[in-house]
Amino acid sequence: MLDKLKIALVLVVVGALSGIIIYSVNELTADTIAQNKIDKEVSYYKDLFNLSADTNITYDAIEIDGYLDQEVTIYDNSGDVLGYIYKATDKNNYGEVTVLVGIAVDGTISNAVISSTTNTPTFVQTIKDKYIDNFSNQAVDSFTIDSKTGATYTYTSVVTIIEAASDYYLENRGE
Amino acid sequence: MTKKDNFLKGFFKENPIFVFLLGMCPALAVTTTFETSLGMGLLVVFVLTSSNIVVSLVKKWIPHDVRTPAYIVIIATFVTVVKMLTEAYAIELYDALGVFLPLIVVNCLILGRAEAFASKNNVVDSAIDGLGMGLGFTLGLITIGILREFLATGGIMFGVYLPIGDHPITLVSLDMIINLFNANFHITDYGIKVFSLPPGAFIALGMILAVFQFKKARKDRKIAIAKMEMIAEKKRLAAEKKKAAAIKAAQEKQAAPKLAKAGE
Repeated sequence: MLDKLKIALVLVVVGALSGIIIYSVNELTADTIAQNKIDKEVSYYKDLFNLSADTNITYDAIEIDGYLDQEVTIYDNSGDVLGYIYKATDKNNYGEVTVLVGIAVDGTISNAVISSTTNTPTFVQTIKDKYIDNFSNQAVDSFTIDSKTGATYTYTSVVTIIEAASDYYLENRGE
Repeated sequence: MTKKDNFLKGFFKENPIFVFLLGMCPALAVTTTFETSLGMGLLVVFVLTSSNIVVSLVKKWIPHDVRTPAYIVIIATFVTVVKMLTEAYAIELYDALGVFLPLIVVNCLILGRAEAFASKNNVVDSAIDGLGMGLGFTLGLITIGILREFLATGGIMFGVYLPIGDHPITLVSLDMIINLFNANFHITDYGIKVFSLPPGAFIALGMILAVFQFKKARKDRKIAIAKMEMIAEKKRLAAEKKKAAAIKAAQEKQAAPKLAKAGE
């Protein structure tokens, strides 16, 4: 009995020390990681509207109830609306895909990016390299999808999110 | 084993990748470029050395029955620390390594060294073993990374993923030579793209393993030939000895009647 208690105690101590070390490093790095995430998100916003890295933009993010997670309104230097970005995460058999969809004020899809995913990296890279750019400059109410690539889980998730973003835009922002 | 031998064994003689075929997952997955290979290698060096030191320090207090889960918790702690530090200070490397960074926890090289070496040796030797094996692992990754990046792009870049310098620099590029004759030539257009994809990792690893096996086979053949020559020499010496003994015996036999006659 005492032996088992000793084993349990050793494991508790190892686990506790491990927890303390991880907590300390987390305290040290949490702010930097959060700032990195914000910087990365902003760089995606600029990419979505083909803006250079040194362009100043302001944005206003609101949470959305439903399939889409967030709507971000992007303003240029003079305060004019450049467009809207919709963020959503879709679950498929291989994990999750988070996509940002940029829609310009004239009702065209500016661009879409996969910001994070747990899907197979090679398939994701193929979608990023060859297929996701095809959505650029297509009208939100009549964009076409690649029927051949549409069979892959990642592409299906991307299309689902773009369709949801388009529907939301047409319903709430379209004129 | 001296400390120097302990440190150097991981580089060639007991290289984790090319000799023991350990840690194949990162060796195939993150060796797309020289820099990602170097980044992963350095992270493994840190985790392996740190975990070896801690395992060696606490080995007396960890009961034998639960040593493996305890070692895994220790390794996982260092991997989590490394993951957070990389995410904070080398975000490009963190993105490039992706899921393979947390997967260092299950790298059998690290648990293998903790179990086979650190749990049986003192702290200094364990630290040297971790450092040597980690650097040997890094050497293996870098070799695959350089081969893959060079064949896929015709050059080697540095400064893209690691937080060193302001701008990426080209360490080597065939463009440097070819542009002396044709300014409009871009070697990247003619790279063997498959080497930047997973099948390319298997092909590159296969090529390097073939070189290692060729050298090993040649060394083994030399040893076998030397052994055969030594056996032949021993046989020859034994035959000569036998022959000399037979001649001596015959001479003694011939000399014996003469002596007997002389005695009469």
